[in-house]
Amino acid sequence: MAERFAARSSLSLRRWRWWHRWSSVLCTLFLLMLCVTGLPLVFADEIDDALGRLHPARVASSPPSLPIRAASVPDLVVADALRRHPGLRPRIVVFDADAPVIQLRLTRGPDDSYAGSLALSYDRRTGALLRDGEPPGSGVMRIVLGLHRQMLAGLPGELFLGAMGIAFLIAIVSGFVLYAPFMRRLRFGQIRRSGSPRLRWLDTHNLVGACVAAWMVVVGATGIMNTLATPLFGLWVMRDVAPRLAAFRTAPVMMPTATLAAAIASASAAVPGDRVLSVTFPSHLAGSPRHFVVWVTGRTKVRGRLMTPVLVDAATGATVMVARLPWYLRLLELSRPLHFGDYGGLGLKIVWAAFDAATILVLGSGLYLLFARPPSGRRARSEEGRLVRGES
Amino acid sequence: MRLWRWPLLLAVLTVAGLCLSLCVENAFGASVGCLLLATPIGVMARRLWTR
Repeated sequence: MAERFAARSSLSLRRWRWWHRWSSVLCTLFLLMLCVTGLPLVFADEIDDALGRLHPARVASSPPSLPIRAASVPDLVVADALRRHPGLRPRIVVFDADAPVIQLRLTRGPDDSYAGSLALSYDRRTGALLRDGEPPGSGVMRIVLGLHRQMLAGLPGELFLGAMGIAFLIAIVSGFVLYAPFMRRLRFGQIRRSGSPRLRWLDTHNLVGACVAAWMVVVGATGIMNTLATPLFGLWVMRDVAPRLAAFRTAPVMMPTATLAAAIASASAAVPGDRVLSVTFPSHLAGSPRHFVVWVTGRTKVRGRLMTPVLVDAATGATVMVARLPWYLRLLELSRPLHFGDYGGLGLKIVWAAFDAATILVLGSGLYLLFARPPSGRRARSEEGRLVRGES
Repeated sequence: MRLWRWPLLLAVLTVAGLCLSLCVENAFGASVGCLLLATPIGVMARRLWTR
């Protein structure tokens, strides 16, 4: 009976080992790329600051190029941008959450992608132009983000990384299952110096992996959720939004006659207490050819992560629809901070970077264990196996 | 402490740190969350350092 149990247990362990090895083989290189590109992204705000992010307080001495009237500043900003760049169209106005800055993006056509858009930044209080063009260094960070998000391969790249994320989760779970039997006879965190370098790396791999496993599961799972963002948003638009905008599907894109100030006031009245995050202009691309889309968000820490789009008529400035997002998009929004680690200040970012570095160590040591040849000869292999099982 | 308790304890601390730093609306709560989160890294670093 005991022998049958031992045999079954050994078979089960071999199966878990098989899953751990092959799921790791599948995902390790991609995960290494994600961890390496993730490190600068954790400090994206600080890098922006270092590369010359706009601080209106520092440029307050610059003469305002426009008259000062707080509520109408967004409209004045758009008018100023169009005067500077005739022939372009306004696409999106973003209100910075941390600084009194308005960023505006212009494109040639109303349905052009944002990839080739022109960015202008203004002081939200005075309407003064702060920067005409992209911030310095933004191209590098955009490439890093593109690699991290979709390997510069669009939606197929995103979905592929999602599949690698699933393999990563399998590797973590199977690694955790294997941890106990292989470390049964050792103290927690013991690293055996007497064995081969391979054995030392195995112990290091096990120690670091066991310490950061929970974080890897959370960041891996939320990363998988993020790779599903595009299809999930598409599903919501197809099911809930498109039917209500069907009448405008083939309509030409209108130039708004209602002011931005009116649209913002109307949306704020429809969702009282929330803060306006951005306004997109009429477009067939992720919007409507006849409406502004005003994105609002809550003011508390958690509710600040939950965005709600408000559709405002671009001709009259009246609110047409408050499009509450479905539960799966709410889940996606709540999962994002747990992936980015950007919700607890610099301290949390440093912890996040430490976890990220530890994950690189787990992945690197895993690669070493995969490729480092075990000792040759039956006796040496048997000795190695005994040590691996902790029978020192 | 028995082998299985350490990884489990570190996992619980990690998840508690994540929840606390995400949900608590003040700097104190966020700091405690960060501290809990940093514990697994501290344990790991100490074990590696004293190997």
